[in-house]
Amino acid sequence: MIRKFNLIIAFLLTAGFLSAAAVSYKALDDFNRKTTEIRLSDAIRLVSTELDKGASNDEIDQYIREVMHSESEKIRITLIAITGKVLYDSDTEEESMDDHIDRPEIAKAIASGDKGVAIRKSDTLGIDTFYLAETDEKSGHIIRAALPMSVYVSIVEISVRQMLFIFVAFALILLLTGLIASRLTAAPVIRLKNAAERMAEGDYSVRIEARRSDRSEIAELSRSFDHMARELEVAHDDLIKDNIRLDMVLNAIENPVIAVDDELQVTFINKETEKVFLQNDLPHDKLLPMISVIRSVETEELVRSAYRKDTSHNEKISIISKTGRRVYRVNVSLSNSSRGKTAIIVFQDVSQIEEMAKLRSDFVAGVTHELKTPLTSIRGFIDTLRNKDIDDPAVRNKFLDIIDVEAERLNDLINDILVLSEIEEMKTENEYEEFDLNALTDEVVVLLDDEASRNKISVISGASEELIDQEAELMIKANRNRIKQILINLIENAIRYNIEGGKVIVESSRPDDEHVVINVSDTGQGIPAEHLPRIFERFYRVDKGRSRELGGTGLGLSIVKHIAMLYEGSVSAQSTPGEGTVISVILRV
Amino acid sequence: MVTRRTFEKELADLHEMIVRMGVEVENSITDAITALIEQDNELANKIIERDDVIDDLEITIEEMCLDMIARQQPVARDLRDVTSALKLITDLERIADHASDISSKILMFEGKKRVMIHYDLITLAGVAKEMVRGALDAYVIRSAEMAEKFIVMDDRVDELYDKVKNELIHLMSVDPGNIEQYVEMLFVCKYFERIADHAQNVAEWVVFFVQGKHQLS
Repeated sequence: MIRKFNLIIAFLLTAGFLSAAAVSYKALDDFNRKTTEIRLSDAIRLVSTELDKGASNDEIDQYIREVMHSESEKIRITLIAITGKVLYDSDTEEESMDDHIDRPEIAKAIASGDKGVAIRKSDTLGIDTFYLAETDEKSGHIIRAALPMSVYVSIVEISVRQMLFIFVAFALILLLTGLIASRLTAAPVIRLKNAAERMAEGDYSVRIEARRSDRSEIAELSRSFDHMARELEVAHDDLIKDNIRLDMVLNAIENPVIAVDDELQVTFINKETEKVFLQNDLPHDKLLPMISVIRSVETEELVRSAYRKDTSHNEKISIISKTGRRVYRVNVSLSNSSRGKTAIIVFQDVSQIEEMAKLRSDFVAGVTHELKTPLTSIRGFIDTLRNKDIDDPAVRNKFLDIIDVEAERLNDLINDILVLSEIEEMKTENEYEEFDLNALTDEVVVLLDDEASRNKISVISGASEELIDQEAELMIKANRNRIKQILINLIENAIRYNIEGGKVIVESSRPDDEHVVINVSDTGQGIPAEHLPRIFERFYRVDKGRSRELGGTGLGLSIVKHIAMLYEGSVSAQSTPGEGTVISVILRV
Repeated sequence: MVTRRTFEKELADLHEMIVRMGVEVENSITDAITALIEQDNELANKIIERDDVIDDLEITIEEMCLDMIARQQPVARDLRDVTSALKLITDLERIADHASDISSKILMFEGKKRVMIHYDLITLAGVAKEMVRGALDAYVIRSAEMAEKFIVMDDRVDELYDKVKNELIHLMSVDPGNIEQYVEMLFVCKYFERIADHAQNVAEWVVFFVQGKHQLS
């Protein structure tokens, strides 16, 4: 706008100057011509008077030099006969000059019988010259006066140069004042524009602060702008605070929560969602389809149905999370927002609850199965003994032995279940006594010596000299029977699942004042990796047939785990297939 | 302008359909790993059934693409978008086929005394699964950079494959009684390795789509 204004001014100025220059140039030119003509006409008259007195060529020469030659200009006089012959010339020898009849000024003068004017290049002298020729009435000759144009041009040039100088000076002054004036009026508008731009970029602290004394419309506008900026800043701050609060709440929730619009584009996801469902970071500033976050077509269908029926939905769906397939209770509720409806989806992981339920039913099934197997066997042999006459005491004794073994197994199982439920019900241990863990280990090894030697397995333990790092004595304060239970279960397993001629090593140590670690390692076939996490579950067996054959109840490791938990400890298993297994128990004693 | 908007909408729908197909494929791989570890025949059968769903999805998406090419005659980036979609779904479909093949092998193990599953095989399967998800994520956000990350992951898979293969060969020589199972296990391993290869292809199509160039590996 301002630039346009300045351009118009400059254009008008130039046009004005040019027309003024043209007009004055024309006037100057006319005036110059007139005066030159008058001067030349005067010169002719003077020469004519001299000629009348009958002056000779030399006298005229003399006269011209005296009267008409100044330092800056020399008027040239030529006397020409009507025939065109040059009779006299003030600058050149008459004899060398050609016939002058065809010179335009001479021709004009002869034709009109009065005078002729011409501006042209002189044939004799070769410079631009102003010629005036008049017919001398008395002699009948033609007197021609000439003045070089250089004099005349220099006058015009000087005037034009002066005019140009004045024009430039004026133009500069005008331009400067124009600029200053437009700056002064435009400055507040520009400030307003810059402030609005900064605000658009999100800087609500921007203020213009027009001078209080300023009563112009722009100042009023600036004050309104400041007011608006203040209001916006407060509103914006409130909004941010609300957002932070909302973010905090949603991110603190330990369930994945996402919000999607009616086109199923994700508008919000909380931290937990990222943790549970996202393998890779996805950009936050872009709307993504829900399917790219929650990898479940069923969930998509549930949300779509919620939108269609305009009600909340709730369903159990199995969804792939980062840790694999898990079952979630998916709750979709719709809420109205300014931009239409938004669905809020909350995911509650119910896999664990489902797993617990399954574990419980597995346990009941396990107990029943484990109890029924020996019972069936016992009843079978009793039937055989009762119904068939078996005279051979050896056979009868063999049957009775089998019944005895099965009854023993039943007894073991019931004992284990009792121990397990007893430990499970306890919150803390209530009986403590101080004893040497190594001595206890040796005691257990002696107890299991029969089984070990049957399989040619050597058990290295406790204060055995082969274990260099082992302390001779490791005093702990705990319930002796429970620790003994741990050792029996672990060492028994290590012997049972070993290869013939294998080795079992029992090491105990105290990594710090509060804890004790018991490691039992064997040289057996190992436990496949996929079974490792589950071996501490009740009745879980890596190899179902073999384990029962070896006489386990399926509860041994579970009892160990529960005792460890009673002592605020933990159990873990490491296994290298083909090399053996190490079970570690950490207890706080 | 209206036509352009229609086209953009169709493209967005196409992208979503592809991700939907990808999700089914991811489901199949995840379930294949679980079914393998837990010898879950029911789950294995489900994967084989799901293969039909994925085949149908492939046909649907293919028709969408051809329809768009015929009616809208896309050029430049749009053409790349549609053609890369066409190529990409073939790879996704092959991944699903392999998951289905693995399931058939799992069903063959039924009733046999199972040999141990090598730990590295599980790791390999996990990496293959991660690659499929990663390639699809890169597709969703159109990130060549992310795609490249998963392209190079294939080297790790090849390394693991060699390791498992050598281990299985060793086991065959020391435990010839179970040689049949080891051979099948080698197949399972190969299928997972192929899945990783196809995931790499998908990632390469993403790079092609974003940058307009396709390096052949």
